[in-house]
Amino acid sequence: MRYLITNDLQYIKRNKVKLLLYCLVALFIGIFFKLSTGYLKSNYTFYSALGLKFESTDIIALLIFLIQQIVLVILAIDIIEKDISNNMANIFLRMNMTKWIISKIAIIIILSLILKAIIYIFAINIDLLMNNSYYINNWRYVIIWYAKDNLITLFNCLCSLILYIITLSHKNKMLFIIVIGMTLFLYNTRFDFFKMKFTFIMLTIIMLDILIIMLLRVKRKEILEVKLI
Amino acid sequence: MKLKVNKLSKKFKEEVILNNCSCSFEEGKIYGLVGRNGSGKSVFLKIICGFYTPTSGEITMDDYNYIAHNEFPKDTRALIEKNNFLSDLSGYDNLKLLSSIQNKISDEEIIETLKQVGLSEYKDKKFNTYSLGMKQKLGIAQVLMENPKLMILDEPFNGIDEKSVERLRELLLKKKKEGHLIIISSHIKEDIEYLADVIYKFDNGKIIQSK
Repeated sequence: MRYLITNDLQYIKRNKVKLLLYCLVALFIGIFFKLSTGYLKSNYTFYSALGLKFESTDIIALLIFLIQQIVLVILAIDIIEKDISNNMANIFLRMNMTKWIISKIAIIIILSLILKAIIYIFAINIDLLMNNSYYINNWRYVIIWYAKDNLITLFNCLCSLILYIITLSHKNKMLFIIVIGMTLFLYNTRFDFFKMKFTFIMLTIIMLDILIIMLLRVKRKEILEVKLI
Repeated sequence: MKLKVNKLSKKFKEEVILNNCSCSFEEGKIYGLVGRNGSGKSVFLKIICGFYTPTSGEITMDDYNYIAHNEFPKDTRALIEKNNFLSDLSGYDNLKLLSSIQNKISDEEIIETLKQVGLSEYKDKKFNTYSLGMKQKLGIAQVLMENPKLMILDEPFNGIDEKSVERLRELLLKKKKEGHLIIISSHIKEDIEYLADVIYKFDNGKIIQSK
């Protein structure tokens, strides 16, 4: 685990810092805009500033949501793909694929926790600057949102990973990202995850983990030979 | 330990890389794989490591077909293609981090391995300051440090000076005497003629025993 974490963090530091910075700047602008111009300062404003809810006409809230999800999906796929492309001998001769993918999921959770913590802290500070203190006054809810938000992001990442493994032979990353983006948009507008119970989301995530582990066995050839496809 | 390759074939799309290849490997011996670039040596080694799946045929380790069970070979280490070490860490820290996956060896054993491959003076230098030869030596150290039964080295002497190659040859002969099974590939026949007990030549997807 320590090896994989160090390896992934160094990879992100070397190759993905720009992407992360651009996305954070875009998110900060979106959050600032939402919190400073939200009419009436309804609950919706505070939800949507964090990308937790969006109406179909609310482009900024939609972007705040999509950027967070897609960045984590890209990171999740990248840290998996780089091991398969460049580091098979160091990793797979020392640990089995199940242990490896579980470690990778743990790393995705850590990344999500960190990224969202930065976003929430920024939003809370902007809210305080605007003399609202909505988030501070509702801190118990904010903690629950944070936990659910991370679980939902993990759910989205796992679904994307499953889609990625299934579509491995179609190596068009941009098309894949567009499909993921549209899928995320469509099903997130249809379901209100925040009304779902923690246990239900947790169970779904565990099921998805099991599905990924099974897929790794079934699609082992395609996964390990991805460089050759 | 006995590794048996039986009627192994590998195709990528329509291109046949290995065609009905059979051979066997036993512990306490060094096997050399020779052949021009692109003759299928690296693909063969990757199949043994379980990274590629054969199109047909089987590989067994002590009569156990690990590939059919979706597993990687047990107690095996390999240096295949480019080294993947963390550039911001020293050679020693890289090996320590890798060894932390299985936690089988002590810090002293890591230092001893670095000494054996001739890197003890540079163990605290960052990997990104290493020369090509030093990087290759660290890759060899990574294979040797945990004393695996099967050691796979793909073009291990690339970029290494003649004096260091001699030192590494002696080290590999010592490992052979200790009972390890070592498979080395090289496109330069002379590189391994001195070391190998058995040489397999790769040509047009076929394997021919030439020693």
